[in-house]
Amino acid sequence: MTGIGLVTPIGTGAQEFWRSLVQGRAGAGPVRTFDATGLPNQVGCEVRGPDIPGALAASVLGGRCSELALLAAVQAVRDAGLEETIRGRADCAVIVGTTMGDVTKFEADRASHPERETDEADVSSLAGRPLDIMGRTIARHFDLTGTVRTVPAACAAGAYAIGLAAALVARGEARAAIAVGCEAFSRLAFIGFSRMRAMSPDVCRPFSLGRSGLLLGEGAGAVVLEPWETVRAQDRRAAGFIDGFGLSCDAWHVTGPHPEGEGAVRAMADALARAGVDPSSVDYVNAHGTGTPLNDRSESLAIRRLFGERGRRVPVSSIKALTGHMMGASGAVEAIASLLALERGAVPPTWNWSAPDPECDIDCVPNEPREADLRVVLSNSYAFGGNNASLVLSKAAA
Amino acid sequence: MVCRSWVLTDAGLITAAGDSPGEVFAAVLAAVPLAVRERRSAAPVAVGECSMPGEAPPPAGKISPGVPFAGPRAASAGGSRHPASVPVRGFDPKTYLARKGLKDLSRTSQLACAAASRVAAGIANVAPSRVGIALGSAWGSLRTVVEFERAAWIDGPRFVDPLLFTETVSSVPAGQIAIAFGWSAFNVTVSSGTASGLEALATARELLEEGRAEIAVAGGADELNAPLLRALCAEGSLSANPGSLPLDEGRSGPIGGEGACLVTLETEDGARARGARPLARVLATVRRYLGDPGPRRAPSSGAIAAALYEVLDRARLRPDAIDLLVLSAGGRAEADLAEAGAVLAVFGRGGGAPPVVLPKAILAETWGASGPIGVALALEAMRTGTIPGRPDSWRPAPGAEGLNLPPRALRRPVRRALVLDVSDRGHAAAIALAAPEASGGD
Repeated sequence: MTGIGLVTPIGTGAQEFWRSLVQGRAGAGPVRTFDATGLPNQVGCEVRGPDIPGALAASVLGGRCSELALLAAVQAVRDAGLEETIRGRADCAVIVGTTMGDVTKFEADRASHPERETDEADVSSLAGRPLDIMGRTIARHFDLTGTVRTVPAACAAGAYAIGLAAALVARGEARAAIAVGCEAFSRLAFIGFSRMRAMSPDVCRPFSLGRSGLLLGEGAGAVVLEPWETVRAQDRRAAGFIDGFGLSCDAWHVTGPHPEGEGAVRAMADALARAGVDPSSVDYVNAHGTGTPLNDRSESLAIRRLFGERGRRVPVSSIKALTGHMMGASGAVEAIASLLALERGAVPPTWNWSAPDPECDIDCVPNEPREADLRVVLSNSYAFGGNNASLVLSKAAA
Repeated sequence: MVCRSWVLTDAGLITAAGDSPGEVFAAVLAAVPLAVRERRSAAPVAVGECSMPGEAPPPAGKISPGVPFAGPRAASAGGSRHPASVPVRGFDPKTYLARKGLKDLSRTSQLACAAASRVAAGIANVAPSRVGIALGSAWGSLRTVVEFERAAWIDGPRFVDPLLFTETVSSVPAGQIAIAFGWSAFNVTVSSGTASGLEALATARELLEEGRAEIAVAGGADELNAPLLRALCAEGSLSANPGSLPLDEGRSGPIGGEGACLVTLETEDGARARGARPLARVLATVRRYLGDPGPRRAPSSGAIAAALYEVLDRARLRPDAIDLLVLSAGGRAEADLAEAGAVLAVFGRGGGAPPVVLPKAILAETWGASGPIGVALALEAMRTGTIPGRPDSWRPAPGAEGLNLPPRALRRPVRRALVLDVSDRGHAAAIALAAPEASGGD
């Protein structure tokens, strides 16, 4: 990984984001994107600014999700030092992960109808094909003609995008890839999670006794991936490495995790095997950690199963206490959080933790960052449909 | 990377023409557009309807009834409120799946699961944990997104069915397949417009090459629904004429269809070891982004030609080694001409060029399912040694005259076929296939 970009509820760019992670600055607040009056939940984690600059706005084919994706991608390209050379490349791929796609324009159109029925005013935002419009926006901005792929892998989509992009570069099918996970704050998802009783009324408390669910978030995380040989030959810096990408499917329930964490164990083990890393070498696990009773219990069990006796001691944390669940963006943003943890030698804690839950018998690094010489980090992402993805990341050479 | 031979061993599909490759191939051989039959036999679909013909209306109280679609642009499907369309009439997922809760699945999920059921028996001797799924969909869960929004506004957010929310997530159809059949090695959904299905095949091949599964069930699915018809009518991109044929001089736009098609992909050695008969070898897959087509909404012929040269190059084939071309032209004037121009540039003109089949002339636009359906038709052409002819009424549009669309079905060996899918939003995917005994790609 040679460049990273972040647009999150707790900060834009690596510096602000990391400061929030270690200082415990949450992105939660009363929902502002839409009128939440009368809705059962009122709290969400929205991105406050930045507005899309005029120079970028002309490239945006869709709505807010496309804007967030493009903002993160531009940051990542700049961070990689490729902004002068990337334009027009046919060997640069764009891989985008999302859950809902760019539905907020449709939502806004619908909300503007007095009768709020489907009418002609909102159909153009559907015909524009909201699912893959973010990738086309990024390709349009940089005038790229390499492969452009959209992976709507729900809440694991960001990790899928990074893993598939890394594989593409490793196979030599692209000389560079921009991998993005993105999601805009959506009324549809907000109501949906609320109706599923998966949302907390106030605070997200991953792995804590009494946790009451997730908070919905939004954002985008982007990384630029290039072959290490190329980077080294150009005497450039790598931010870190993707060493392994594990995949599995629970094939169990459309929304609930496997009760024994079966698929999660397989995804983690697959990622580690592909990285050639023994579980004993993992220094930190960045958990999916949504703060729902079922996810955190299942993920804790999976970590215990994979790591054995060490499962109680390996540091595990979830940043969703601060960022909320950014859905399609989560996997990418959390992979970048893992990278920053490697780089800065500290485990970002699980904030809002109040008391141990016997069903989450792990070291979840509660409420206090922990200094550590991290070399290998595992980042987990799970999703509707039983989609599981794990990434193994390692430190850039000094 | 280990160099292995990849083969297709089965194809399962659900289309308006039938639920077996043989039935669908027979419909294409008959060369009568399904939309014409549809218009003769059934009431047309009104774009304001909330449900499609052949399916139950939404339950009262669950989804509010729609209001008629009104307004000046409503009449943009060739001047009619009734676009030509080809739904899969009488589709009942219970015919294919013995599972509770089928009614709560989106139609895309139902179509995808039903297509998967058509290949499940053939891979029953493979451990489910070694089977992966790659599904392509152009529209994903668009319909359930619209229904959920509608219900949230009309009935109130406290009364929306949470089950409906799960089906708004576009990866859920692939997840439902996994739940139905236990296939758990990997589960990937991709979306690249009409190229989605072929892109899923290419993705599946990559994941197999990485050793993530023994077999992939890969393909695409998309449903026809009222919101989609409304959206495309408002955009002016659907035809009201059931006789609108791609690349025909009188074409007036695509005709909306639906369906699902999944194939099984595995190594040749693996297939033979488990006693499965390879139907064709996959010589190469290619996917490309052709660049932002801009307001013309048609990629350039040159970019499509480059994708064709790339798949031929990867397959180590010369253009004249191709016996059959299955194209994606679906009735969009400029996009179809761009595709035709690329084919003419790469393969030449007239009788010396490979015969061309236009499945969408018969089956309509099935979006994410279209590419895999093209693959299933190519497999049937290989199996039967038959190349379908064009509809009688087809007359080439200016720019398409040189294409070799046989006036009637041809009996000749089909050893190598190329299936191309070009999306109007700039994606392209292609796959080169060879009959099991044919050379190429080595």
